[in-house]
Amino acid sequence: MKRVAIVGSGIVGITIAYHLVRSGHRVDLFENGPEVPYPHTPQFEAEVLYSTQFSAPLALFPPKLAPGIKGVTQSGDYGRSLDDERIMCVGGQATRWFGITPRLQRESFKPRTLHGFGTDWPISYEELEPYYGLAERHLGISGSNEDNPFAAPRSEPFPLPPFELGYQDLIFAEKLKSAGIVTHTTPQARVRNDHDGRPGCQNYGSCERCPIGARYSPNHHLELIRESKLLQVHTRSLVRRIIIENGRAKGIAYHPDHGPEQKEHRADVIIIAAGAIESARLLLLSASGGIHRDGIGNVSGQVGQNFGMHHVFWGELTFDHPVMPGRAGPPTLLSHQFTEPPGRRQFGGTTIEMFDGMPYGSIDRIVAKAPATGREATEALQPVLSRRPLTMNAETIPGPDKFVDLSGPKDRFGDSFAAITYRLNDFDRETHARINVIAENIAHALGAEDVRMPPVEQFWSGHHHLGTCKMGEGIRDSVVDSFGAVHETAGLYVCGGAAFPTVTPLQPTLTMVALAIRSAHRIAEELI
Amino acid sequence: MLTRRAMAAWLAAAGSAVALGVAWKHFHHGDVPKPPTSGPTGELDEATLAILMATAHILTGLEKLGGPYAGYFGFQALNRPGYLGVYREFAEAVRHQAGEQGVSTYLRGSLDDRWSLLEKIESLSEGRFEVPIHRETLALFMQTDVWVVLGYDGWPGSPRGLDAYRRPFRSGASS
Repeated sequence: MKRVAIVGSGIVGITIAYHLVRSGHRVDLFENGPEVPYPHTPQFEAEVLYSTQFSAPLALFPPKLAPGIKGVTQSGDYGRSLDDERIMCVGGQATRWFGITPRLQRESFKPRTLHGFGTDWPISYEELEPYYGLAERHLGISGSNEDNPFAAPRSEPFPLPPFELGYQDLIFAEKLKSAGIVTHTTPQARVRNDHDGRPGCQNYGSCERCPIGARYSPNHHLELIRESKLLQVHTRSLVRRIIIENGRAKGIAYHPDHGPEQKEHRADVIIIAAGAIESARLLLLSASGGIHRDGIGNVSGQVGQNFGMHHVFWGELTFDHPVMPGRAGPPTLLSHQFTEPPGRRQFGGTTIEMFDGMPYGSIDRIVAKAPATGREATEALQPVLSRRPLTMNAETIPGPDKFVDLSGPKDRFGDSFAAITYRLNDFDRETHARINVIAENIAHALGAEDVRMPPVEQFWSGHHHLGTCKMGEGIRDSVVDSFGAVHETAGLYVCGGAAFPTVTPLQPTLTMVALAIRSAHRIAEELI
Repeated sequence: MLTRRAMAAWLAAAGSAVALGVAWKHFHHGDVPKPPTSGPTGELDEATLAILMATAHILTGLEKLGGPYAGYFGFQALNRPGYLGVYREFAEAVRHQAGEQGVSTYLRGSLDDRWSLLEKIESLSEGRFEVPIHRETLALFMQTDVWVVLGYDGWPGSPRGLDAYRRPFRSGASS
């Protein structure tokens, strides 16, 4: 039995912890935030059941951390708070997510070779394919490839059948097909039937905040190893440094309970799985001498560079007749037809999501007008019945104005918080222009009266913070290899979205989990 | 969940309220009122909760409430500073205003009488009840029961099963 320390208890940290504990290794899991109850029923109550704002619910879970524990500064074009987007608790971001889990496409791994831009991944789809299968079983993915001609080939079926398209979805799908736009079901970490101790979905319609655990949360697997004597979870523990001795990672320095006392924890392997922002910050804060003078893993100067986010554009279609939105999941109708558009290089691809969700923004605007009676409220909401969300999840490209560094203010222990610079580039703007054309085509095909897409500056990251410790072939141009092993530091791994070299149009989480399982297998073998 | 009969009753009651000229008045002019932000939190007593639930009936016009109004008021009292105090103050205002008629009028009287009482209480409150009681009750209605009134099988946030959304909308509105 060997000792492993994992920094960060999100979906990647817990996936690795689960596999290593099951392999017989001792795991200490360090989390800056607190525990949250699982299933996430209290979160559902606060944010859905007793919420009076659809799009900005009261966020009581997890509770706010004390001042000086969490923070980032940001400059550039992103209008939302990146700090608010980072959910620090046991389970991390995946305590609150939609669970949309497509595999990347075969081409996603080779943008440089195929299109002449970006960076090729140091791993191919074929190499990762078996781990995608393991990840899909781990998360309990409901889905189908039978209706999706754009999906990458697979060696095994989805573990669960897909969530069927809704009544209105089928009407839309037929009209779009006539216009040459192919739609399909959505692969999702939401169990269609009872599975692996999780109850089948009952269609609460609030996948982001599932009260019963039908939508996957990492806390599910944490509970399965909780009683093991091989696991210890250190909550409210701020990790400040990675300890390096003779070129090998030997431990971490941390503050238990956010208190003044600093402790050291020694381990045979250290895994950083703290998200793109905190992972880069920790490597930079751990700078010492020699090859680590600019931070650990930073011989290439790439730590903190290559920061990326999705550009999610929430639009809305308006019809001249009711289409009754919000009857399902919501993830239902999807199209991956435009993820690899012809001529891709000056602009990127996008997914199209026409989920059967409520048009939250419209509803909140009506609520804000404060109708005086139930009858007034009912009448005011009538127009919403003729609207349907239209969402585009756009690819982005790294650039010199997208990075994380340590120029932020100090935390309570005197270390700099991360500072994020993020400015849109020509690629991003051209991609947005293409998206508007696609939206117009969809509206025309469906006979919609109107389609509204937000301007390019009003993108949302989808909480997909990626890059900053990118994987690559060698020490000169990347931070880690495809297993997450830091090139010049034995015993140290950076896993998760931080290692992504590109931001494809497809949601990243399944790929993060597939890579995490692959890393866990490799680490377990090395530790024997 | 509301039945069709309950929905019909609601429409009739709400229509009657409007016809009788007892529609709600806004008491704020200019400034947007704010919810309470400070004060103790704690459990709601049954008498206060009964008055808040009666208010929900009055405001929504629903004879039978399907949404989680009681849970909502209890949640707010327990988690949001100042709400418990406002709720109690409101209940006290109802008791005071009901006077000789007694609180039972507010709880079980005709809709017109209850509207009149509510209107009077709000007019004397300088807007203190507008957000935490009036607006939020209707906002909760707009997250829950309104969807059933509009013909949905259930409101988002309730377990609706995986069959209904694949069938034509029951009113036949979907096309």
